[in-house]
Amino acid sequence: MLRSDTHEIRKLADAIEYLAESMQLPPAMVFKLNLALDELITNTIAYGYAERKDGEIDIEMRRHDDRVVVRLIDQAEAFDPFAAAVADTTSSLEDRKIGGLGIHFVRTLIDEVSYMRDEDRNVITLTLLFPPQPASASDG
Amino acid sequence: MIESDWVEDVLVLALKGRLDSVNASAVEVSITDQIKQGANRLVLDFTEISYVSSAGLRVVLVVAKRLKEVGGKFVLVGLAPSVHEVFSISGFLQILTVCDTREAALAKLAE
Repeated sequence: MLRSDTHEIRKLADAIEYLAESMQLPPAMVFKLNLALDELITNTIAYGYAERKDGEIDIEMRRHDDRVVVRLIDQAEAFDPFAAAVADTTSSLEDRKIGGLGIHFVRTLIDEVSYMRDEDRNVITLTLLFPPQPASASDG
Repeated sequence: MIESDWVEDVLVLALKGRLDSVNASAVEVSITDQIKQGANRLVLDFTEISYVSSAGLRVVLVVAKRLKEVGGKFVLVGLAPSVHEVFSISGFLQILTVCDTREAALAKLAE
């Protein structure tokens, strides 16, 4: 559980490292999870909780055979991060808009994303598949 | 968090650690202050940056825009693979100049 304070992002990084190690996740997955959760939580703190520092954000992470499923739960105003406009990643430097990149990262790096409003809670679910295992020599 | 060094008329800024929502505004102010004071050719050395989020990319974009306004330019150096990936999926590699080494960056700015 994190408080809605930007400095908690550093605590998040440590927690993800710890969980990822105990679940034996490959470094590429740890990086993706860390960045995606950082972006979503930074959004929730800045917009959902509007810089209130006493909000709470719960993070649950479960490892399944072929995937890791993470749920982020907060009690801020209803907000679907995935309903936002697609980020500008193609225009020239002069015209390039600042913003929206965080959610673009989440969409790009995470295999499945979903949002639902459950009574007074926002529930975001992220699913990341394990990379395919290289076939062992005995399979050939 | 930022080490600065002048190489003739090029300001080389070496950043360290994480560039995220915790420190992005402070880093942005620090670099844009240097631009206001007249630095218009910059090398941003990311060799010791281990992690960049969208808040960090925002800083780089703001710096690029400010420099463009004053007719300056900058080169990014030393992107670790995961940092490079973040720049890549943002489409930033198409609008920024990236070099592997400081020497290559200085040569690029001297062109």
